[in-house]
Amino acid sequence: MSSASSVSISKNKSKGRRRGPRKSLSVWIVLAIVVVALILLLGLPVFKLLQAGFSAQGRVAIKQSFTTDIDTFVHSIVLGLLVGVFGTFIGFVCAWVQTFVKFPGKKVLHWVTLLPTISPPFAAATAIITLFGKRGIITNGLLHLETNIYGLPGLLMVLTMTFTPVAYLNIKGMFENLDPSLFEAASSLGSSPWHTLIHVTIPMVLPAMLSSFLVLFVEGIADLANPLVIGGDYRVLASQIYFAVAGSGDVATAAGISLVLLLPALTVFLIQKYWTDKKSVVTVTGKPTGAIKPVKSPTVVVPMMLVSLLWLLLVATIYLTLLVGGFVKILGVDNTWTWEHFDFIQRLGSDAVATTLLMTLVAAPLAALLALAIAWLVVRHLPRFGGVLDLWGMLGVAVPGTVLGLGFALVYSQPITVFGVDILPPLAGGLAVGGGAIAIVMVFIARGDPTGQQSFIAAFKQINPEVEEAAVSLGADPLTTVRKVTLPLMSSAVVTAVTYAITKSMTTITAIIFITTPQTKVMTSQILDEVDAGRFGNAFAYSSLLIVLVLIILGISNLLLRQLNRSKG
Amino acid sequence: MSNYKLALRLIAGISGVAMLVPMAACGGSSSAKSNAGSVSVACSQQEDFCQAMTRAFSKETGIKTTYVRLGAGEVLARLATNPGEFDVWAGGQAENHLLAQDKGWIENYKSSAASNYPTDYKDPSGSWTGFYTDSIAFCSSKSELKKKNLKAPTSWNDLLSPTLKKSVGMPHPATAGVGYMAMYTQAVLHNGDEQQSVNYFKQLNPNVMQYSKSAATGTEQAGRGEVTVAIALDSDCEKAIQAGYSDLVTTYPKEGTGYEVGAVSVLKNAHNKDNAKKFTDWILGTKAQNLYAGVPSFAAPTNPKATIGKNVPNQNKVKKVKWDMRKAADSRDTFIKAFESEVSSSKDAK
Repeated sequence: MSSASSVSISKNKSKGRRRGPRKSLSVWIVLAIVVVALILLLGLPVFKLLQAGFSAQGRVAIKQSFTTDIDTFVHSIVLGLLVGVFGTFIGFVCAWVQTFVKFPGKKVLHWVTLLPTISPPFAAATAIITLFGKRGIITNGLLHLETNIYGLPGLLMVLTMTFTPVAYLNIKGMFENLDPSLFEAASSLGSSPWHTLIHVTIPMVLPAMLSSFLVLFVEGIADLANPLVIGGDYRVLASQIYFAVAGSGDVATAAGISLVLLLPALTVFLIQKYWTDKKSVVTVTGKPTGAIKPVKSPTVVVPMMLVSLLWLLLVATIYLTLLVGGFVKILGVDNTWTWEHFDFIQRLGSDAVATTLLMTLVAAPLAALLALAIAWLVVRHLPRFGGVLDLWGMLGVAVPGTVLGLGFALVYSQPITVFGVDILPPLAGGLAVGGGAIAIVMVFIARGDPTGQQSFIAAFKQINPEVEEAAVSLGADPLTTVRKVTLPLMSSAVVTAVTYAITKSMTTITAIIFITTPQTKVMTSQILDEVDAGRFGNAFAYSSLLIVLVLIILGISNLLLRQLNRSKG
Repeated sequence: MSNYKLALRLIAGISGVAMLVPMAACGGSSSAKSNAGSVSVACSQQEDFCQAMTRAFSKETGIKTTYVRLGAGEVLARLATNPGEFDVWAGGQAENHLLAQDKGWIENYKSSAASNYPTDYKDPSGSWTGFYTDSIAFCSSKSELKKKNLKAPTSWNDLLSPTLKKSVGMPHPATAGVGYMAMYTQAVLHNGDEQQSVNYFKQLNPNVMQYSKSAATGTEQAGRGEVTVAIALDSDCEKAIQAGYSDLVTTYPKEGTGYEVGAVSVLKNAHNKDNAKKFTDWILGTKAQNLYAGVPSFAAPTNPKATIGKNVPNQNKVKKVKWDMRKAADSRDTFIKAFESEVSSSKDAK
């Protein structure tokens, strides 16, 4: 990709630029801002962790993870792979159905598919236990089975469910940017629908599928909220980290184990990077194209619809459980109607609700901007250094939440000094400026950035650089080009980035456990407390409220984004 | 040189302002202060308890009271990273407060409100004072027991029955005090032999469905029938029963069981030390202790004059093992390490 852009630029400019495109001042400014942001968000906290991880005690933990405790490591990898495969597959099917099949109620299905991502991590797990546990309403009540959902099956189910929407949004975004004439060409050349699907459609969205797999794999191995609730005796690295920190305050051991967790995450990332770079396909050319024609062949539509409808049925059941659970005393045990759970929230949680909303509204746009800036630099301007930036940003999701949060606590509870000069006041903890809210917002940004970053990168790669070069040669500077030309072409990546940043902020839990303060309470940590205490009803009610809030915010931001696009178009 | 420093300051200023501006709205809420000042509480109890207590204290004294609910282990981690963040630590086993004392994070304070307390419920040096107490019990589901043709367990050995395979709930010793208390109890029952205790839990491992992060999780799992028996606090089991899990029953091991004393302590780097002491005095007083039942909380108040709520398990009738707070605190690390390396990863028993 990168070499293509430099070659095409050098064609219409003087020969001296063969080594690469000249970087205008705005590129350098953006780069500087991004680097500072990344140092603050991920550089310092990760550095502190590396320091702790390679201390004597941390090294012992690393060694143990590969020797006596190798099972835990294997468990994590298996879980990540399975979540990646299942989630990407289901995400692909749902995205395909949304794009290529015409049927009534499509928009409803779209939102149902997205539901899991906007719920806090514990919510789905608790609902799954209620439905499919040993005494679950469905498994035991209806089918009279005695299943054990705790362990790998439950984890796989809940994690696949939580993260499938990421793959769905990512792949759907890419579908929408495809040139429909390619499919017409395929069918008029006599390709069967299945053949088209496998040899035309899938290769075109392979970058999105691979980046989805990456995100899902990493989320799968890094998630620790669900293993705590539904993990059974399936030990994973993430929960080991939690037990080390929360139990013994043993930062060094935790940091050591998290370095072990980083290894597979980074490996997959590098593999994906290498692979997609070779296979990327330019499909957005800026030439006029028509709308995608719906696929009608039943041989393809029926199985695809079946998979996606079954999936949606499962999701809908679980979220219905969640909703109902908030209104009855103890779902499945004592099903009498009650308001007590919402009463509880109103008494105890209204503070947390307001604070969480406010922090999300600050963090989400910033996270999306950061993602855009990184993607822009990586794909368009920094062919060599770009990979490093990309990787750096991805640490936001590759570093397990607990560990990132701990890194933040370590770095930002004291003022930051450079050569004896205080450059930053303490940002985390109860004594910090803003009651510790700044550190929480920073975590939100760090966690919200990677998915947006991946989808922006995929989108940039799909857009032929000549489109932008045309604007540049007409005198637009790079930033204007992005704003006026590139962004409107990848509106669906914008939606992915903003959506994910919002939902990540609203639902992040493990990363903020160590930095919530008396002044700044966060909804998810309140929910965690309720799950912990076994008050599923309160947790259900809280989660339903959170989901409704996220839906409202997403709805508004979607409308705004659409408005924005229309005014440009 | 001065140019360099100036540039640094400039960058700092710009980035600082850029970040502060959006956050101004957030920080504003905490700036309102009344004359009585404020106090910040690390609360290791259940959310509703923390809320009820801090609110009542605030109402009575006019002192603005904020709290974060954190497990004892989490508090210890936070005290290490953010000294001065909290003024007073309320809740969590006294052992944890002793560990904090060892690290020099606690200021000794002998509250006059505790002068009539039994010696079991306060530290002679004043590092901690207990404001509630409860014991380890077996919290079982009657219908699950019936299905397995078992009686409610009355001995630690009853839990080892092969019929209970994957049917026991046990809190993780690293994060939940009860899990670790159970380990220490076993050691006491074996004349202080720590390895014997580890062996017991190795035998129990195949029967454990999940080591839960929190103490109360097991009671809910039993209430739902996901497990048959949970090792839990009697107060938590009672709380679950009152919350609607009416199928649960509390029993105690006949060999004797461990108990916890939930403690309060004044933190050394407190910014509002006087208010921290006021809070300590208040929560140990009869008036505050009489509030427990209304929360509702089913831990027994430690103040001999406090009225004990109707459904609170009677702690005087529980057969307890001889508890050495100091020893229990000292062996915590050994137990948690042994648990991680030998018990939860052990496969031989399966």
